[in-house]
Amino acid sequence: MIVAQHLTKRYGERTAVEDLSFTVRPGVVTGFLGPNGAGKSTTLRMLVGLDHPTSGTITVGGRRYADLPDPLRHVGLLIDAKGVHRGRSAHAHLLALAQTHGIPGSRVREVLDLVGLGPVAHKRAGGFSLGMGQRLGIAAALLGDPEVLVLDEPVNGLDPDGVLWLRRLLAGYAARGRTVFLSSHLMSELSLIADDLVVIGQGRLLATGTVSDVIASVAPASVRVVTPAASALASVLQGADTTVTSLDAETLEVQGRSAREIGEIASAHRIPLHELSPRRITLEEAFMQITRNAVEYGTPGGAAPRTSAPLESVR
Amino acid sequence: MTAATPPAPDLGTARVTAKGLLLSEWTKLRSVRSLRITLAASFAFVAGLSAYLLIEGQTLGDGAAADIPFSFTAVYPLGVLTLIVLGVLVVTGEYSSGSIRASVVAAPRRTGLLLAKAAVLTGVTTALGAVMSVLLYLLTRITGAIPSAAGMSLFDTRMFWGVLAATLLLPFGALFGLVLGSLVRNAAAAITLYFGVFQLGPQIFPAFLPDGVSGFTDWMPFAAMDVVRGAGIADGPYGVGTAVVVLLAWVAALGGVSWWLLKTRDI
Repeated sequence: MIVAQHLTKRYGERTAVEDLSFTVRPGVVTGFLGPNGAGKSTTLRMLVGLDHPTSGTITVGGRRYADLPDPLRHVGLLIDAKGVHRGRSAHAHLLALAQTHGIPGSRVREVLDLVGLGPVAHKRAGGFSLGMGQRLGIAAALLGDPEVLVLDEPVNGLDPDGVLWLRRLLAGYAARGRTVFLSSHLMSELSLIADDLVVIGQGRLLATGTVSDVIASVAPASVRVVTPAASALASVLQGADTTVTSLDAETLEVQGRSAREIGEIASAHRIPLHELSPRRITLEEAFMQITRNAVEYGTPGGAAPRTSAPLESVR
Repeated sequence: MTAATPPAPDLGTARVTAKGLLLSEWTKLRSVRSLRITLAASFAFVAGLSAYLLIEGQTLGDGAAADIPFSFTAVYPLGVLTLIVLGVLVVTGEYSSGSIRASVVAAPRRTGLLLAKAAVLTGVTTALGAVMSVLLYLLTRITGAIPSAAGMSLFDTRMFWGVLAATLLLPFGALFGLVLGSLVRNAAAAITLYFGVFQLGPQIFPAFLPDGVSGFTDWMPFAAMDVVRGAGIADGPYGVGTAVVVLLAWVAALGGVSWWLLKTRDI
């Protein structure tokens, strides 16, 4: 479990992270989202003691990372894939990390095989592609079989096979009761693997909760109904918690009722339906709306949410 | 594609230990070719040049050098220079490659990391220096190139202290480089700092400073190294014991600042 409390980091005049508090639960994959410059990497760096917080705390299992006698057993971190000496082999890089904790050399070979770098284990890392560097970073994170995996943009440079492999790895890790905390710009990818979200912008917390809760907080789920008897259906659907919006003569958008309920009501009133489709905004659209006012390095009009919601479920 | 769930490994009581940090630094030192080459070249160059002088016999056999039993160590200062560069590279390579982040994540208290790095580099260069000095001593005995060393045991006080001093200046150079590298975190800056301030400084500073102050250059590392190398035979501004203290004080002061910066700065 990761707990941040009133975490603040200032670099001179610039505030990178301000009064940030959140909790990452064990046993789930938590996505860490925010626009460029939102303070995600700074937060992860403070988690593992690379940066010192100006004030506030961030702990792993209730302890500061630097106070852990066996940090690699608690947290596995991928923060930048190219953080390896170009002249050193993948095997030697991992061995040097493993030796600090007395982790046996057999574990080094195990994680190298696990990430698919076994055949190039003794080649100089300077010749590695971005994807291979990313796999080496993931191998380093897995070395101590940690309780918490923290990955910053882990799918960068991975091929589709690698993305699928990583998705399964993270799901498997969380299924074993471990904590997975990852940042990514690839919303579609995150929506497939994340259970919870922490969304920040300009160093502040913007939203946190389950993926469904966060999306629902931006735009409640709705159902689009196409029927030749739109006005008749609208009148029978009206209720205390139901909002019906007429989009055109035959199309209604209904909030507060499920597609199943609408279908049953229409059937009971013998109203023919031509289309009945649940609609929910995507994680990407929800993210755009949440962070609209908190984009540090945006392009003009770039952060505007798309207005037409594709017919897909986010989970 | 195989199941991606990693097997649960038996990692026992894995934790950060001093032995682990030393092993880790040894792996780092031996696993980068450029560091191995710099290390090997430093000793090969000094050993080769010294052996040549002993075999050639003229340079060390005549003049003042002939009266100094340990004069086969005359070219060791060249090794000190290359080992300073090695010391700089050992630490700045971690910063330029970004692997310092992985190192600090594995050893987040940082102090042990710096101490282990210093200990491994000092240990390796001391061992290589000792082997080189013993071999050169044997070559001195075989060639008889230095008249005053004829029949003299390595442990004769006239021989031993001079050889020991010259030999220990090699790991001192490596350690000094490591401290400078830790201080500025950048190879070019550290090497410029060394040559600009510590190597050329003693010649340049007196031109800018009032007479009363310029004497401090006697207390800079190069002057103290000269006193140590003289092993009490040559005249110096102070004794060998004081010179050793001066050298250790420089490493302790610069090392202390490096340690404090490492502990308090973000990586």
